[in-house]
Amino acid sequence: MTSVAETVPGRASTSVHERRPGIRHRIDPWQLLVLPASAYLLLAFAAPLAVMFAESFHAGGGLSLANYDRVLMDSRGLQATANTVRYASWVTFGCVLLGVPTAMAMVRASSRTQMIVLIGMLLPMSSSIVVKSFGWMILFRRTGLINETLMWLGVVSAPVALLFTEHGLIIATISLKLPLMVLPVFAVLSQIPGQLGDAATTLGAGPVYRFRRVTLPLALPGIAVGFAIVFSQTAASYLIPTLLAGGRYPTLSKSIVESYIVSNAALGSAFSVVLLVTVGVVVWLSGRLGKDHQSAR
Amino acid sequence: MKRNLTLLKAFARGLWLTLALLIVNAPLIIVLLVSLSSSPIFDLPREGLSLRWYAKVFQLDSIAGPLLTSLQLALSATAVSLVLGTACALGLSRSRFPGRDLLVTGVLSPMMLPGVVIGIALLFYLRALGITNSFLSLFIAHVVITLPYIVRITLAGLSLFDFALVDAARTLGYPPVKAVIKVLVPNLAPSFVSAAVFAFLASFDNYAIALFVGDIYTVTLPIQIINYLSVSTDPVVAAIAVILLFGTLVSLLITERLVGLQRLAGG
Amino acid sequence: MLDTVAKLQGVSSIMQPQPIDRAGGQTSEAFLKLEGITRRIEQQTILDDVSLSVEEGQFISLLGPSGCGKTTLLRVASGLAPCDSGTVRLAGMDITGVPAHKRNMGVVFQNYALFPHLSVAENVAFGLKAQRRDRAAIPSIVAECLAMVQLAGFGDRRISSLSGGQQQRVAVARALAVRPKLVLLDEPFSALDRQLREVMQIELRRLLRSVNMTVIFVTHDQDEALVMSDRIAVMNRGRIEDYSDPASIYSRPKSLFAFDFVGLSTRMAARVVAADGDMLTLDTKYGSVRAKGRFYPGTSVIVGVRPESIGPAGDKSDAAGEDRNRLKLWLTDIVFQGSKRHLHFAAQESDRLVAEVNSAAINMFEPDSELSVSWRVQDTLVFPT
Repeated sequence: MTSVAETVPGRASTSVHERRPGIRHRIDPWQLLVLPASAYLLLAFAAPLAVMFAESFHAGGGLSLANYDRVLMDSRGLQATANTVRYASWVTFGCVLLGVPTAMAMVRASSRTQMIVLIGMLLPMSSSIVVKSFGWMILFRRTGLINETLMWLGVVSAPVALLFTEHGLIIATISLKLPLMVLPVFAVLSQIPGQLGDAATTLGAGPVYRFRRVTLPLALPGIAVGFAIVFSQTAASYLIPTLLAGGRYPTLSKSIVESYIVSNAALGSAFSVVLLVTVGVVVWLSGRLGKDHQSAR
Repeated sequence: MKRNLTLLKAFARGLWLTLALLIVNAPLIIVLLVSLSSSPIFDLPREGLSLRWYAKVFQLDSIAGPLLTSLQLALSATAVSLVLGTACALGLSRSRFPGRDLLVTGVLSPMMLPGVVIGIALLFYLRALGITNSFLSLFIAHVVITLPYIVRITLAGLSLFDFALVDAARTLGYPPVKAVIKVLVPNLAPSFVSAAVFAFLASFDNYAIALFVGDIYTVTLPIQIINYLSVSTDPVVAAIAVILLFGTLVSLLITERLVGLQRLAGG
Repeated sequence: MLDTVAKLQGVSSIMQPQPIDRAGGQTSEAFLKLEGITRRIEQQTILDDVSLSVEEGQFISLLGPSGCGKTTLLRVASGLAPCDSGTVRLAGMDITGVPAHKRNMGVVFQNYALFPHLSVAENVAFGLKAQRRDRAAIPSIVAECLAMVQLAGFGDRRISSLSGGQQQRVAVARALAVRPKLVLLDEPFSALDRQLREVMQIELRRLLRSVNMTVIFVTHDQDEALVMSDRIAVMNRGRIEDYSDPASIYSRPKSLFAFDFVGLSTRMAARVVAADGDMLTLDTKYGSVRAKGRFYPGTSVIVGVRPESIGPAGDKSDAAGEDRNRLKLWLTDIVFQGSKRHLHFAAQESDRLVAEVNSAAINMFEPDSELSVSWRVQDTLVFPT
């Protein structure tokens, strides 16, 4: 999950690299191996996206920005964009708040506990999103477990609306995306030598100072990776808001699908481009955040 | 005093971790409970436990077909991605050329892009190319989404691999290609397994692409479950979900046996 | 060279630990006193009732093989590890319950534990900031400490851009910057190559002496311990087996373990056949030898001799008046060691027979031949098995 560019070895490769003087453009045979996959993605991934991008400027038989006008100016389109950004931001915020302490607790736990927690995080992460969304639907119903527990505890006297509300959606999505934050942060934290904490302690740093000046800056690359993944996946999710928030909560992904259903491909393309740009900006920003502290690894 | 504080901290840690696991696994636990309920509507098992919904899963005609489609799709897409992705990862890890980092980002980007966007883009593209076979379209799309998993995990595995071993095999008498196969393949076997498992799961669970690219004759399992949810309220869906969950757990345990999960988290 | 010394002296004014009133040296208690330290981890005893006293300004080595508990003892002293029983006293105060971040001890870790996200100067300043020392004074203290380890001008560098030796100097500067009461070194040279290691050993010892620092130094390398320390504590299986100055540790080790661990030496299984006062007659597989010691006849013992004590019989050190042991041995190998050579003799079972001679005298010997050797009776050590 960490950016792979950093983990690629450059060290052992000198023998392959030595280029004989005089033969300038000798092609490294290893280099050719990237071609099939690159060609495939170019044809089956990049080209479709390019076509879609072009399509988004297509309206009324000519080129125009009319589709973007409908996405960004129309109240429902604007609402979809605003909802997506707000929803994904809250979920990301919640995941950082819960995920970082969880990863820290994992690092300090015994290796047996670590193993149990890892499986407990990977199992829901790798299981069907349909199944998980469905589980939350049951939990959130008026007669669901959460409401019954709250009423039994006397916290509320009548069932709280959770299903088809924004806060319910955010709570459920935090639970669904939390492993995506915990795992990269854990991966980074577990690579930090324990001696660094000891060193800070012997130099007179108390627990709070240690967290602020050592653990947090060192964990930042992991947090940045988790941030990017959680935000992009949340903003892109279609099924979760459809099942848990219903039709009255427009998001960009839902708008894409709806445009397709009413056969307005150009409008769907414009929604897609807006979603891609939104996600792209956040991923790029968090990449910068992680890079500033790259030396931490 | 100090001992007690240490114990208290360990206890607080354990409590927090338990809570985090509970939050993350809550939907799975609830699905498991519902699937065991004897009541004919979604509910917690209040009146008693029963396995009747599991029995019903195997009587449903509407499940077998989509299940088979999803399996075929996931297996074929994983197999093709494994070949393309391993070659690509090898090439990326063994050579430096201008734009290499950009290429890495490009190859991994389908993982970061919204599935619905990939779906809608491919739909129009394939239609324009005149490809109407639904399974073929799905296959093309699923290779796109599984390929990054293979590349990423294999690349991480390669970063730990000592290529001096290949040189050693060559000095011992293997020609270059054979040396790579003899040394690299057994050493990277764990990476291949975990890459394949994750690619398989990514394909098997994908709904976003089939939402656009599938048709009524080629329905994948996730789509069928969504369809079932909208017409029926009995806990059969929960039973199906638990069976899928069990499959995931088994493949995770196999991976853990072969690779160790720490590496997956870091991969 | 001279300016280095001048620099050191210039710095020592701020580096000098606060004077501690020791009532004209009449306080009986040592500066650092570890008493009855015991630590168990899951039924395994890591430290077994260890006591150690260190005088102010002394340089003490904890020497032992890996797993002997030396690092754990260091961690207990620094407060990083708790102990199950025992007390840690520093300058007359019980600090057993004081958490590590309030002890103000400078620790240099095995792989230096420098913070990769901070620059060299920020690393050195870390402790000063953590302890909320006077902010205005920080830059000058950092500059002085860096100058002291000959890294002036390196402040803005990244840690990853430094060589191993430079990283070690930063670690030392960081530990000294907080003006610690005590410096703890945990195998600080293990990551350096041999040549650099020897240079750094001398340099670090001179630096720490110049600021009159009390030091505990953990190492598994006997040469390092002999070079660096005022006193050496030889540790084995969670206990201190010997605690003395380097010369005594070498020539009069108190246990077979200490004898074996410090230096490759001759050792032979033997049996006491007669005891006349404290003069023993012992039977070895190569002949009879005599030694001083108190054992009952019939006891199985190990006889040990340092290799440089042993010489060929009849050479000039083999003076007639001295009481010497003599054995005829079969020479198998001659091993070149620079200015010296080691002679290895055919030995039985777990015995080992080594003598050390000057390279100049080497022509006298021929491998695969018999050779008479001798050594003084008083250099013969006897250990219970």
